[in-house]
Amino acid sequence: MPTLRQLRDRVKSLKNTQQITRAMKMVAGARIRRAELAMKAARPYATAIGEMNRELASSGGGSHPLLTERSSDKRAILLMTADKGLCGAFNSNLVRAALQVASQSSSPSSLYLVGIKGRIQLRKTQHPVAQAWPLQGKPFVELAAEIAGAVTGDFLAGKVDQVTLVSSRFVSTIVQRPTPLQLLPIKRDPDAPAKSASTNSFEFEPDPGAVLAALLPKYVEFTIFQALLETQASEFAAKLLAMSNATDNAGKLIDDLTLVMNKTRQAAITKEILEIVGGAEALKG
Amino acid sequence: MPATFALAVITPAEVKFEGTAEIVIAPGAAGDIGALANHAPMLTTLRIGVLRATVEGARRIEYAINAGFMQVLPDKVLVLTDLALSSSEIDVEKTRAELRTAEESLAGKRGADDIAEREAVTWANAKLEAAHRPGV
Repeated sequence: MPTLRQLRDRVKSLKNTQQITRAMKMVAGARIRRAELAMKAARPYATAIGEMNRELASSGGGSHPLLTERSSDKRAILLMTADKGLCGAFNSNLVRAALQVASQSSSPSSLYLVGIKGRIQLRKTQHPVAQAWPLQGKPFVELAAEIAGAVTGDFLAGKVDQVTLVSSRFVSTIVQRPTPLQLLPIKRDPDAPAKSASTNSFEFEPDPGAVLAALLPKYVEFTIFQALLETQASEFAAKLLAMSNATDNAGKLIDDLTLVMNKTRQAAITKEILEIVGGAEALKG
Repeated sequence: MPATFALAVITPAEVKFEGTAEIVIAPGAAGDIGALANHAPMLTTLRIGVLRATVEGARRIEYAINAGFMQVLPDKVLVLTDLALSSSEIDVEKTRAELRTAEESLAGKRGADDIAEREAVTWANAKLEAAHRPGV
């Protein structure tokens, strides 16, 4: 049986922990909202660049190294995780999804890692790390450009033949799903051209090839940008949930311990009263 | 009232402008391109430069844009760019300083691989132009 003082110290320290987790929960909640707004703001661009890509595909602007499938399988995985933990199984789920993609090929995949946690968790695997970036510290537009430049460069140089992007899809505040997506070579929607039959009359300036050559790298860059936004929003959502659970659990522990503490104190008081009464009885006698 | 079309200027971070316009003049890859309503469908790349448009209410808008794409349809023009800055968003003093550093590093390069430096100079000039403050 712990002493009264020990119990009191436990409760005090739990209350401190609870304060911290509650603060982290509120911070995550506020950040989700901002991250969600940023995601929403990026949507019109996504629609527009997708539309342009389709116009190009349907008007015969069709061949570019970034679109060409290659037979050999030097695979690479671009994995996005968070920089920090304290967000439940968020990072582990992403790493597991990446390893699952990697297991589809017999040879090791080279890894491009965004976010510090992924780098730490994958340090001891057979897969070589080609390049790594922290998630925070740079505006996402610049970070996306840098990542896209590195990955596209290696792809064009023939160092890798296929790049799969593994990132978290923000379904809702409650559901975030690690999702693999083939980043390179760029896959085009096969039935897309049928939708816009009138587009054969499009004029291209300077010419379809040049527009394609300018558009495709942007498309890759933007896909990465969007994945960064979604992964970050997912991280905040996972953190909100984890911290809200931690706060609740701390509360339960505090309640339990307070009950034990009160019982112990009451037992001590009862004992003292008994002693006094006993003493008084003895004196009377 | 001349015929109008829908104009949208979109960056990854936000929709910069959305509304109806009478004319748009964009820095196309092969020279400035003007588009009125009922223009033939066209898809073009854009240089770093200044995008101008006359929009509803005979208001004129100008953005310094950091390259991108423009899709023209008879009733719709879509401009996609990484960055679009209006004059109120441009810090003239800072941009002048940027221009000076960019010009100095360009002069230091002497030909060879100076694409990044040239772009920096063009970008600074475009920003100053959009802010109605020509170079130093």
